Amino acid sequence: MLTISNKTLDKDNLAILYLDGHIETNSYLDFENELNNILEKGYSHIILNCRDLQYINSAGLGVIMGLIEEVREKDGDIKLCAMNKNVFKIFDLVGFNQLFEIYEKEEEALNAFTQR
Amino acid sequence: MTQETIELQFCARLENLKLIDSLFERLAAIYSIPEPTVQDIILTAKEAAINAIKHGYNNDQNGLVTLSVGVNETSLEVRIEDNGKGFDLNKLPDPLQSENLLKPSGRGIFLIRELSDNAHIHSRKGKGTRVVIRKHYK
Repeated sequence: MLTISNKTLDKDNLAILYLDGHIETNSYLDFENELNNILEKGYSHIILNCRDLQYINSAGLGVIMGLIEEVREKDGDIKLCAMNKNVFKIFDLVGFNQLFEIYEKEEEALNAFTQR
Repeated sequence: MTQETIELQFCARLENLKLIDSLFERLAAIYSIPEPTVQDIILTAKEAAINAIKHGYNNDQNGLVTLSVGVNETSLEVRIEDNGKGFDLNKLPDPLQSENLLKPSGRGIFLIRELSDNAHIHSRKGKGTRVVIRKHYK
């Protein structure tokens, strides 16, 4: 089960998605739809707050990968923060730490967008 | 060392992956398997089962997936088998190569290998696939 809530900061084109639960075969489409909705509304600076994310599988990783080029073409980015050790291990294994900025705290990810 | 073996067979439907969660959560409680280890086992078993359903059987719900788990006081051995179309292991791309890093798929087998202590994958075209995962928890 996956619950997603969000917070937006219009002046910075920024949206923070709070991911709670599991991103896997039965929930990755919800995750993809939510990200697409955010993009369609014009938010291209996206923070994925993973504080309550318990689990992500290859389908969930694929959603992020499938959208990152589109986001960056819009001069945006996806940054991640606050992930637990197990989730970080998955991201690290598949090389996401080379492609994405991953922060311990949401505030750090926010600063990376707003203090450019 | 005593070993318990459990075997499940289910139709190739993604909804049935819930069985994998239930089974390993139960085994974790019985054998006091640490949470991070259980998560690794569930993820690898499900990646193998997803491959069986989506690629082995092309989502044909008439296909059968067999999951068997051998567990003792220190480790688990998980087998996931299908009789689907199989694939050529030598043609699997390395997801860490720069040309593959941004691809949205192709990480399932990689995760199985990385998160297990030992993984054997045997696949024959037209015959099916067997994935055997070993993981120590003590």
